[in-house]
Amino acid sequence: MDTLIERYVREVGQQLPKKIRSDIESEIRSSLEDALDDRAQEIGRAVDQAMILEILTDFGPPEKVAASYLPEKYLIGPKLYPAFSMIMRIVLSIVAAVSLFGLIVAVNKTGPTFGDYLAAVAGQLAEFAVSAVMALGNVVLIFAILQWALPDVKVKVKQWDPLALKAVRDRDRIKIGELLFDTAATIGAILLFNFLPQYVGSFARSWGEWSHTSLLTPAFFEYLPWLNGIWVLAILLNIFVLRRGRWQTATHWLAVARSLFGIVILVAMASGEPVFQLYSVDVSQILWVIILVIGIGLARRLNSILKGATL
Amino acid sequence: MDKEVILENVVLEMRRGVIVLVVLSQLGEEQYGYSLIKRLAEKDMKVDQGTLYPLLRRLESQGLLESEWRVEGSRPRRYYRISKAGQDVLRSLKGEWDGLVKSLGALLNKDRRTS
Repeated sequence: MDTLIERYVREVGQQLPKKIRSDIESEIRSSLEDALDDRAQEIGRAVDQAMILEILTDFGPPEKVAASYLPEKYLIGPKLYPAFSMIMRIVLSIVAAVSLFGLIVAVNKTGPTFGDYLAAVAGQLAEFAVSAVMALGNVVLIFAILQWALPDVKVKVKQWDPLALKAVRDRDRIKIGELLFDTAATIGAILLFNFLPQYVGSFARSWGEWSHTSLLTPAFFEYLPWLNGIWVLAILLNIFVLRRGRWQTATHWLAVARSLFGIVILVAMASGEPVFQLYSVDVSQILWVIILVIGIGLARRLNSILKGATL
Repeated sequence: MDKEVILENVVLEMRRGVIVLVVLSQLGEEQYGYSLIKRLAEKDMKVDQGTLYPLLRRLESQGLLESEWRVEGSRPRRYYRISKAGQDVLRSLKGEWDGLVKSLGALLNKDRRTS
């Protein structure tokens, strides 16, 4: 029989598992008919279409009624979520590390112009984005399968010792001395490399005469405008953070961008024409040590940001 | 959020918290879903179908209620009544409720005196 009540009951039933469907359908049907009889008696007239519409509207949308009989559904439920979040961070860190390594390799193999380097960096960043999305998708898929296969997974709660709690580290606290030193050193670098480059090198005294060998090659000065840009950005960021008195999410990310930008420039310098020469020996490879130091700082900052953020 | 909406949500949560006690307390004599809704509404305890029917099924699956289908007139109805285990739980819940009322009474009266 194609009545509105039957349509409603069927619509609810279709969204329920077969095992409980007919039982619930019967109960809803009987309840709707009871409600209709009751309303008809209250108003004092026979059941009509308007009354049916009113009762069905009161009952609510079929999908909502069906949902009330079913347990809440999750792609990844609250019990699995902490493990998912932890694995996600680990996987993303590995993807980032592999991509950084790929970036270094790509920059090493690329052409000599700065445009070539930028193209290599852009390509590597795009690859990182694709890899990150794929990794994210795979981890979500694995956890979704686990959630489906083990809906009532019991996470064992280990007995814990309050004294084993980690000390609170305020990731946003600024180290004034460090920031001031960094700013002063950056200003010093700008002045030295732009206005007194002749003093960068080795000095030796022999036979009562001072001799000087310059460290910087002409190739170095091709990168100087980029270095100036990053130094000025670093100074502005330091001043801003000092004025604010604390690191904020935006300034943390600006610092990450600054470090990444710095790594890109340094990798380009280390892989291209020699930028440092001492007694005709190319010592540009020293830049890899600086890149490593910046990379470690970057990884620590990223770790701190991601731990503080809700993934 | 609007103050009235907050209040409405809190009241809803309070009512949800006592719904099991309310339902068990009314099923000493058997009732079908709609008759129970009406009975509760008459006592100013409005419960909607979307909450009551799934709850009745859950309580039955937990063994606190028993049910049977019976045809009355031309209409089949599912009748629920409290089980033996349900009666034990109801007794404990009533004890908890009395304790809560006592504690809240003391807390709220103290607040009234101090405010």
